[in-house]
Amino acid sequence: MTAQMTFFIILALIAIVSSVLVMALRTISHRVVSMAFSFFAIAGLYFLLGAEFIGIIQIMVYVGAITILFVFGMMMTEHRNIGFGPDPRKIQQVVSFLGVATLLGIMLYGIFSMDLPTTPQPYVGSVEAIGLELYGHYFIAFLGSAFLLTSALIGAVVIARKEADE
Amino acid sequence: MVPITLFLALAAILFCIGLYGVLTRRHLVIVLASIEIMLNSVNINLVAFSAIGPFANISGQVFSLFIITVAAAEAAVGLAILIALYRNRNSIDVIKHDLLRW
Amino acid sequence: MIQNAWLIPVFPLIAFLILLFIGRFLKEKSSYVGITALALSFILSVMVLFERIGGETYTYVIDWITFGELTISMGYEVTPLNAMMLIVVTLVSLVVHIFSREYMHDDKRIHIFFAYLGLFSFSMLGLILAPNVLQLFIFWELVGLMSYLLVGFWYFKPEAAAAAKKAFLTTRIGDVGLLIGLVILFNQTGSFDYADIYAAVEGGMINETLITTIALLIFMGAVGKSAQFPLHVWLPDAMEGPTPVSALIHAATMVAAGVYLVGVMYPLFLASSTAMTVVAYTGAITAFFAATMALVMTDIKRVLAYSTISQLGFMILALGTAGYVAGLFHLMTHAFFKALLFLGAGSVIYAVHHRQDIRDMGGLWGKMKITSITFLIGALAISGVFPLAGFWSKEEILASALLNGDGFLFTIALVTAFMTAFYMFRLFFKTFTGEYRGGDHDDAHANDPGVDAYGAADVAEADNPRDDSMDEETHVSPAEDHDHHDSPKENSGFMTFPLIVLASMAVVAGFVNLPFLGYPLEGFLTEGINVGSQPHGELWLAFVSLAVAGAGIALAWAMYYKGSISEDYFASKAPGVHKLLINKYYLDEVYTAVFVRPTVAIGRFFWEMDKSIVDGIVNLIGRSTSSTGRTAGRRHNGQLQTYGLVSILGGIVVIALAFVLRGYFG
Repeated sequence: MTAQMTFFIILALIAIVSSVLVMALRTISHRVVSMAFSFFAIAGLYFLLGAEFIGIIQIMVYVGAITILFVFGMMMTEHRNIGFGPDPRKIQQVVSFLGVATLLGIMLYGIFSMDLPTTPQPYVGSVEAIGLELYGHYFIAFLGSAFLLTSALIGAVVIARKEADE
Repeated sequence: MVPITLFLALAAILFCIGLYGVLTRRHLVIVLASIEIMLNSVNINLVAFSAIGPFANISGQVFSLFIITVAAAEAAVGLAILIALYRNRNSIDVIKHDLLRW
Repeated sequence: MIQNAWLIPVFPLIAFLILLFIGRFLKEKSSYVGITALALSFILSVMVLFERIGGETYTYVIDWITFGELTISMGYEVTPLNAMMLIVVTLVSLVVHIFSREYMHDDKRIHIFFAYLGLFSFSMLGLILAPNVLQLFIFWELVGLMSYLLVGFWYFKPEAAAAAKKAFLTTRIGDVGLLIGLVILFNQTGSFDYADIYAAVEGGMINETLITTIALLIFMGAVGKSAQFPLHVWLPDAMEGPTPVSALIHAATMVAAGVYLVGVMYPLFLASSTAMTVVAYTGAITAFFAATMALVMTDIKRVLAYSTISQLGFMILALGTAGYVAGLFHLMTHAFFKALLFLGAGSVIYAVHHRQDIRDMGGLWGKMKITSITFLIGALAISGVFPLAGFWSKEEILASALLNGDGFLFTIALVTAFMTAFYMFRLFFKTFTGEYRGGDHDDAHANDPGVDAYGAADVAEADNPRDDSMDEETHVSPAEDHDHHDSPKENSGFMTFPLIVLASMAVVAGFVNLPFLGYPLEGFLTEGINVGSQPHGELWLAFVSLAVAGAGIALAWAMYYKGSISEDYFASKAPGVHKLLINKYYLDEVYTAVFVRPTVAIGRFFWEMDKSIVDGIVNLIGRSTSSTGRTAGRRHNGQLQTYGLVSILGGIVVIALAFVLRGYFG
């Protein structure tokens, strides 16, 4: 059991448990916090893989921005009364669970039956390499994502504001 | 080093948790959160292959950057829609929004 | 002027369009639109004829459709034959328009009537001017349609509606044959143009059997349109239409289209002796049977209708015995005196308050001077009395039956000529001499289009509120117009003028082919077309013809004027024959039993089949689809997550299949 393995198990457990808690907790704010923990754990995994840049971005964007957005979304809507009463869709839940479990089973079977070599040393992607790739090979896609972000910004403003005016 | 299959298995588990959440949770915020978890699980795959896959290279990390970008945009717009919906229909219970039927 | 011959059909078309759009505002005045258009056409026709007499055949065609190496052209052509026909059609149509101005003036839908007349004239003139058979066929069908519309003009009368349908469907049988014939012809010659067809036939490009087939198929069209046996049944029923229509369509122009068709296709018929024989015998049989039926009819228009069929049979007989000119000559003269007779009958019917039974008439001689005299001229002309038009043309037909036909055909022709004279004078004496028998009759007569027309017009008014505005001033019912117990009196100039015109034509039309002048019409008509030598009778034949006509007239005189032979002498001698004739040889019944009933039965059978089996299957599919839809619809609850779940499950199924069947994932 190497140190890496230990870290991996810890982080993976945190990620899975906090993800399950997102589904299971009763209070909406607790759920959002749990989601932030999950993101943190995933960022930790990135560090473990030697992808520091992505890990940092993960923390900044997911934990810093998206979680805050969720908090705002939560605050602006119905956050006190979390219970909607008894769920009328028992069949939906059971079937969903069975379906998702089947899917997971198939995927895990597929993954573990794959014969992938274990790499002793991870490939380290430097920020420079990412930058070169981003501004070279993927420049068009990069511009596209810039447009996407801009339009998402404007769109979010318009959607949220327009109704408020009326 | 940790075998890549473990990362892939973790990603699959997270994906299924997110999927289950999308299919069953009634709170719209949680549905969106589940979607974020699913996106994250995809990112784990990408980064894992990029670092310790059979053909490790930088492209996976670049792609995960794009996914993060899209996820951010999606979260922003999704929450804006959520707020608009709440203002209009005064509820964020998924069951109450069955306008697709009409 | 001959270059502008295309204007001749265009004038009536313009009249039709004008009446179509603003006719409802013109009302009664719409007649003047039609009269003006036809007058222009007539003047133009006369100019074209005179130019054609001195000149050449004028053809103007443009390419219409080109496919591959074949080109179908359209245009117009002025040949001697259609120059003559133009005069006939425009003149008859013009006088019918004038006549209708008075005859129809009470009708609510007079503008529609004149619009139809205009369109009909257009179709007929277009048919005549057509330079190829395809164009002829188009106008041929248009003429058939107009016949339907005009016969069914009083569509609210069930008999009229039925008659219109019957006319349309019966002629359709012939038209199918015609169309098939034309298609085969086109297949063989690669052209619809008359000139090419003549050349192909004369050049022997088509084998003999095929020529016979084509000729017989085309003749089928003529049989339908010209009401030849066995498709003649529609024409008597078509008398349900307004009388001017009967005069225009069923005497002078439309039924002439069949004869005209045989005329323009004559080289084709000449090339096949079988076809000629069939044509001749069809004509003879038709002439004879129609004449026998005309002997016993009591409806004035029906007598004339059977007389028309009989005379058309004469023309066909003449054409079938190589008497090209004789047939077409009779076509022309017959058009004039038959239109005259029909309009005379219309004048009488109008005067006796829309009664058509000759047993209700009589004694009109002194009361309706002009009508009586012109009708007498018409009757003499159709009987073939010297020197009226009918004499010259009928003599030629007899000559061609004698010289080119066999004894049977000649005998039939003579007997028919005798019967013609007899039934025409029976009609004349019954109508115009003796005592007036209509005065004390009750007016509610079963066969009374006028009264029905007004009743339905009142109903139609409700549908058409715009008509109400002028109603009080202009709506004069026939009962107010002429008092019923008044004796009939002569009609106004609008009715008598056409009669005078036609009567004078009936007198002089025969002179265009005088033997003493060397048969000028024959020289004109045979120019530029190879129809063989024309038969001419000798002098004795003229005397035989006259004697036969005289005998017929004398017998009628004896029976219906003098009374020396009882009117029902023959009927009592041979009651079976009389009954047979009255019932029109039971042909309608036979057709009903042989064709209509089985068709209806087959139709019913298939309807049942359709209902139980085909519909059953369709309904089953439909019902299962809709129940599936209902079941699925209940699942359709608008829940986004349910939809997501279903699609995820679908995806899982696909993955599982790929996993199991194809062995993916290792």
